[in-house]
Amino acid sequence: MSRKTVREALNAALDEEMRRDEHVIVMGCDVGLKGNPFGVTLGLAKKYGLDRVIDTPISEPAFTGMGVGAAATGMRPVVEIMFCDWVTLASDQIINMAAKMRYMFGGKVEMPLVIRVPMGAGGGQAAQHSQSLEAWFNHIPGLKIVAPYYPADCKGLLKAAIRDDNPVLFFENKRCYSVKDEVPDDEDWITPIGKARVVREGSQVTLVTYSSMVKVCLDAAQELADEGISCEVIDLRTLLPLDYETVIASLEKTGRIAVVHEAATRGGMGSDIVAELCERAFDLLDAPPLRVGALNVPLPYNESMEAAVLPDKENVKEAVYRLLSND
Amino acid sequence: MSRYLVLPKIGMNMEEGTIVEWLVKPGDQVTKDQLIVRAETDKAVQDIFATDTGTILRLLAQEGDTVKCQEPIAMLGEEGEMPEESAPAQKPGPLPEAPAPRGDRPRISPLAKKIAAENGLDPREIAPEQEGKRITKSDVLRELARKAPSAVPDSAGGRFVPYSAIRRATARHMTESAAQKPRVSLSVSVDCGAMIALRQRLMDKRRISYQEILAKACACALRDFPEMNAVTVPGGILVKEHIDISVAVDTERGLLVPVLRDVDRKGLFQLSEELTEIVERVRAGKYSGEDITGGSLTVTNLGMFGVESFDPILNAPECFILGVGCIKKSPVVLDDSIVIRPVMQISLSFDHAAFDGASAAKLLRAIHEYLEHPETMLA
Repeated sequence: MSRKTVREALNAALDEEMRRDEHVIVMGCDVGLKGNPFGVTLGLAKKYGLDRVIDTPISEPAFTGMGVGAAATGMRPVVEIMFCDWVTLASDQIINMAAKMRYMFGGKVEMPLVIRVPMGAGGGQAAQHSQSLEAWFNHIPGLKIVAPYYPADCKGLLKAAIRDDNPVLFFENKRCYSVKDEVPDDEDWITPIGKARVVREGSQVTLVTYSSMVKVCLDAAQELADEGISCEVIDLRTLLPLDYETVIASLEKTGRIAVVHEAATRGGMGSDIVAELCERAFDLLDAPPLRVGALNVPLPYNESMEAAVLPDKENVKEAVYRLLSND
Repeated sequence: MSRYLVLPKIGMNMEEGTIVEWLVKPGDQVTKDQLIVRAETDKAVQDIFATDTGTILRLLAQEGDTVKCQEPIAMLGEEGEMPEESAPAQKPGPLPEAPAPRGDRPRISPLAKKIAAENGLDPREIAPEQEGKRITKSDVLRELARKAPSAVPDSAGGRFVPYSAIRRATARHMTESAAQKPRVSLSVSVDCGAMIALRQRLMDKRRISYQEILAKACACALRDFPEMNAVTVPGGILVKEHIDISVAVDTERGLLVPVLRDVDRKGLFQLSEELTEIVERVRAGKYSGEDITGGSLTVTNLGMFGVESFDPILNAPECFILGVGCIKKSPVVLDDSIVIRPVMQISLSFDHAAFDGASAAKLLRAIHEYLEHPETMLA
């Protein structure tokens, strides 16, 4: 084990997988010479050459399409969309090509494509540089979606995603790059896709969350514990396929649940998870399941207003109070 | 536009019914007043007839479900309309002709509702922690703990046996009666020599039991005091024209009390036939509410178990109940000498709200006279 930031953990995952398999390549804007704006690919070009760490023109559809083609022809590309907001430009390649090819060609084509999507708001980056659009892709059959928080999971899931023969969207939150924690050094260690993790045990309310909101939920749970309210926090880690077994096991214990994410509430992951729970676990619900997310407005540039739009610890606590109010 | 069949109220005291058996299924054509379902009510399994005509689209109450009177039990469509598989099994709100206020349906979480159903608890009996809040799991558990304190601690090694519909009805009936009726019991000893001799003679022709003789004696006594042939109603008593006697019967399904009609006007053989027939039906569960309501005095006999005497609780709204003990050979002073006679203790419990001790004593004395001199019942 060693202590690493998310940035370093992602870098280590790419490094290890590129060393392990020469078919692994990295491509995107500024990933090579600059080591990407956030330092995630730092040093890789020097180590593996600009043939494997490819600086692309600034055209998401073009380099995502390149990634799709490379994956279909035997490479294991890791494509980076610098800001989640611009994944819209690549959506045709992702939705109509990457997600469909294995199905349409009867399994004759594999699609070992990873698309890294740094997402999230904070710091006043305004409406076009702040979004979390993971729920859009949750709607698309044929994709896998991961959104880890802890450095160890970032490393373990990126390695798992690279080794997976299906297209995986890898959502990482920009504001969490500096989160530091223990990370296993074992190069064969991976985090399996599709497994959630209970990161805090509790008995009264289940908080289901992922990515940046894991920390927010844990902070809220800690303060609530001081008030005598026991919350269980589940870090989903993978959004598709989603580990409902772990969520429902927790709901069996608590009977009360809120889904917390940074993305806008309407049509977010929370909407889908709550709907699924109503179908699968209606009889376990002792209170209406709640969603906690951003307000349904474009993210403001003004930082005070941005903070008002994003969900925070207080919003999570309010949801817990509401779940326990029996109103 | 769908309509609904409701559970009709077919007895004065009927508040709810438990569906025992559906006799129709979705897709079936039903006409108003057709027999469609059998439901267990206060004390009887009742035949329930359709309240409307049409095609059954969906059954809203399943066998075993308890439904309040006037609540819908089936969704009805026009003739020929087919049941819609995916239609929401949502119960409708209040029906216009019998307004069951929507506020009557409690706010309850799915989890709480499930636990309540599993434990045979009506959500309407559960109070939320605070007025106006949703009923949750903890409210149900609290109510269960309150209702069956011994059932909750598993460590006691006990086993919780929920009340059946009959048990619940009996429990409610008895508790209400004990709480609301000021009851007094009067006892006398009856020399049964003549009654035994009468029965012996009649037994040559047809088997009869003491029940019929006891019922007949009570009916004759009530005929002598017609103002006591009455049941309580709010604010007074209702003096009845016919003298109908209830007879308590122990069945596998619980205590049931079928009613013999016009007992004062019928012979013992006829009473015996009618009693045998009605008891058979009651034991088999094939009876209706009419068979077990409308009496003005109940005869309850524990003599066959060797019980000497007891003071029964009133079978409301009746004002009298006769508790009958066993016939036992006892020393009796007769003409200043001690002789051995077959003696039976009878106790008449009466509702002191409706009648005074002197009146009840007169009635008991009359019953006593008829039993000691059964031939006078012919007069």
